[in-house]
Amino acid sequence: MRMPRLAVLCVALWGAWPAAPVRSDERATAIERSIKAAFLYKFGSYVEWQPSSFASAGAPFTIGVVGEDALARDLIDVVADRTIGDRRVVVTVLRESDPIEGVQMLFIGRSAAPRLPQLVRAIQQRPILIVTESPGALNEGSMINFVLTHARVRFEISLPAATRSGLVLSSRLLAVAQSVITRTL
Amino acid sequence: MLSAVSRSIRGKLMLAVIATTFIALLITAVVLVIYDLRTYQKSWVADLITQAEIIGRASGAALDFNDPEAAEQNLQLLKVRPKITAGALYDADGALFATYTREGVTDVFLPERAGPDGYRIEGNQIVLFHRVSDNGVWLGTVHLRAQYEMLERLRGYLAIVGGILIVSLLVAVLLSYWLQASVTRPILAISDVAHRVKERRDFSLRVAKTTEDELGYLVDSFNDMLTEVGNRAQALETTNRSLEHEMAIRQDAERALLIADQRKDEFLATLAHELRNPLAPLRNALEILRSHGHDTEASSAARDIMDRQLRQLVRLVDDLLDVSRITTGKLTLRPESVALQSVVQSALDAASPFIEARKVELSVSMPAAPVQLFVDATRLAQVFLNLLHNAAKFTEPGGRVGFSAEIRKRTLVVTITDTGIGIPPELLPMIFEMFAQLDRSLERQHAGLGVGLSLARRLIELHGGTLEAFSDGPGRGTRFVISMPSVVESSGAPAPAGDEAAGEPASARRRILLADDNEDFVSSFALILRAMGHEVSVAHDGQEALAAAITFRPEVAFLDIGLPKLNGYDLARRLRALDPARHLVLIAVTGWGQDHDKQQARDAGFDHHMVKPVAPEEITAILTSAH
Repeated sequence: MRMPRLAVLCVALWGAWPAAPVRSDERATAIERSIKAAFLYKFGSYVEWQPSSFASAGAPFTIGVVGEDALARDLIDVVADRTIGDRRVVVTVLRESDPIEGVQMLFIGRSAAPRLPQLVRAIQQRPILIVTESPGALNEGSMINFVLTHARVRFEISLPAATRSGLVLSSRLLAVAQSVITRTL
Repeated sequence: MLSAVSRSIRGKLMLAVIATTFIALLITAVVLVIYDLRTYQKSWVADLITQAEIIGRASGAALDFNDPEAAEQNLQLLKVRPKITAGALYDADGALFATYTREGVTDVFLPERAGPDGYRIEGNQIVLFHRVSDNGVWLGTVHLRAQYEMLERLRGYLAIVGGILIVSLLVAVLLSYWLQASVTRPILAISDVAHRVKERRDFSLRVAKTTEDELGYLVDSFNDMLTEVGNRAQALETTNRSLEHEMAIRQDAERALLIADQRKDEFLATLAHELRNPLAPLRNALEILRSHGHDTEASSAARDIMDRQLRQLVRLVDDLLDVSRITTGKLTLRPESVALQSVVQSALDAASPFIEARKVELSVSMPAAPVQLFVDATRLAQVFLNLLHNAAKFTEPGGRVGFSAEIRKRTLVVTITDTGIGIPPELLPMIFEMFAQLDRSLERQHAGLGVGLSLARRLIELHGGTLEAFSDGPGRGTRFVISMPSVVESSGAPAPAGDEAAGEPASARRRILLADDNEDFVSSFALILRAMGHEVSVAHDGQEALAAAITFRPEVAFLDIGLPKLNGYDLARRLRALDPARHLVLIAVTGWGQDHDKQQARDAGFDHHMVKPVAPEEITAILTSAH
């Protein structure tokens, strides 16, 4: 169902990329987007969530997506029937006007990068994991930022940002990050 | 080999100890090795699974976020376990994700795809695939390849077990030697003594006791048993010896009995023959008398024949009676004082007809003076007669028979010689045995019952003397020597000239009663008496005899004992009672000649006892003495 498709995507990305460097940008972007969607879901498992992060005990784990609707669609596919810490996972697409409420993770797409500082302010250090895909985003309050290295999707982490929001990231996550900012510059 | 070892107790003990040790060690070693190898395998597999789980868990994020470098860094941790030669990580789809190979290891094949969960042994390597999952989500598969040192361990164990076995077997050998010293030495001692006892039959041997355990008890028991067996063997030997002795005696007795029985059988055959022999001449003589009664010469010859044959018969029957007396031990002597000369004379008188008939020359040599003997005259005469008869019988016509009597220091020595056929030296000791006949062939020339010499010697022995025979061999004649200390008086006076027989007085005429139920006997007897000039009355039973005695008034009565109606003894008593004062001579004439018969006759009142057949001389003698 979901896993095989993801696996197939991974394999395609893994094996095909170096052998066929010339690809249509659209296609490459689609693969990159689906990988990011999978990573987003998995990030949820490497964070210690406090009950206070949720509205109620039965509240679902909500991932908010800003400025990247296509990824939101991919993410919906990924999280279907999945749980994070016994909670259902739901995806919500946030418009500009929407208040950032009831989400535990917020993905801010490249197109919404300029609004990052505004969004960070709006969050006001609430325990919401902020994931971006724009270079230098960590300096503006993002906690995890996707980077593309050697055509592979990697990510970097800002521990101080996470700590400010009261989020504890798993060391295993840190281990596989491309880079980790540990102190505020 | 095994049987050679197990033939001795020492070998068996050693075999038992070694085999027990070996089997115990082997079983222990096998069980321990199997257990250890199983434990080794289990723990090694569990260890590897743990390693795989750790690697897998640690690599969960790397797999999640597609980071092979991180995964390989995780795999590099396997360096601390040098026995793990290679490792690999496969993602959830089973594709190779990251690999690790220990330094220095080159020929390692890591499959492109994850294999099924589990482990397998490939020679000296163990290969493991372990799936790692987290919260029910399958993260991937860890593959480990490690050294599997089962064979090395096994080899090590075998070396250890082998070493222990060698040491243990050495100890076992020492132990069995010790056991041999304490167990087999007493047994060997017993075995040795038993062997020697068997060889030498020496029951005095004993086993030295060295221990106080069961073997000591065995030694004691064995020694006791030897004592017991020795005693019994000795007793048995003694018994055997006495039994053998007894057996020999019995066998001798049996042989003697057999010989005696055989002789008796031969004697009976001879007896029948001898009794029959005179019958034919007697019948012939009778025939001559009947047909040629008028021929005086023929009658005379016939009477001579009858006389000779009758004498022969009487002699035979006398001998028989004597044999009976000898065998029943009832032969007794009636010694009296008598002159040697008269005894010799009566013997010569009796023997001369036969000697003359044999045409043998007889020479007699006697002491000049009369010799008084205290002997049973009849018996002594019988001995002389026997020997003379014997000498004449075995001497061919023309030969010589010598009779010489002399006195040597009050001992009478009588020598009877002949020039006859002699006796082989080896047979000399046998001739005096009862029924002995040197010539046993049916065609033998010399008839006889074979009792004469035996009887003669017995009679001489009863007189306290000896009778010996000498011969220089066959054809060289025989010499019989009688030696008896019965001389009472040997006077220097010469013997009275002539003898009583020379002038036989005519018997007085007597009235004689004859009583016998045998018609022939009584009538012939009457004929003889009447011929002598006597008056004779004949009765055929007891009553008739009694009646005749009353009417006839006999002076002499010859009575048969076995008379009908009134037996001889009763008849005698009646006759004595009839007229006690009158002098009546009673003579019993019977076929019973035993001593007790004679005694019974005397008791009944008889004066004389005669055994049938009666010789005319005896009648004459009695009639003469009855005067």
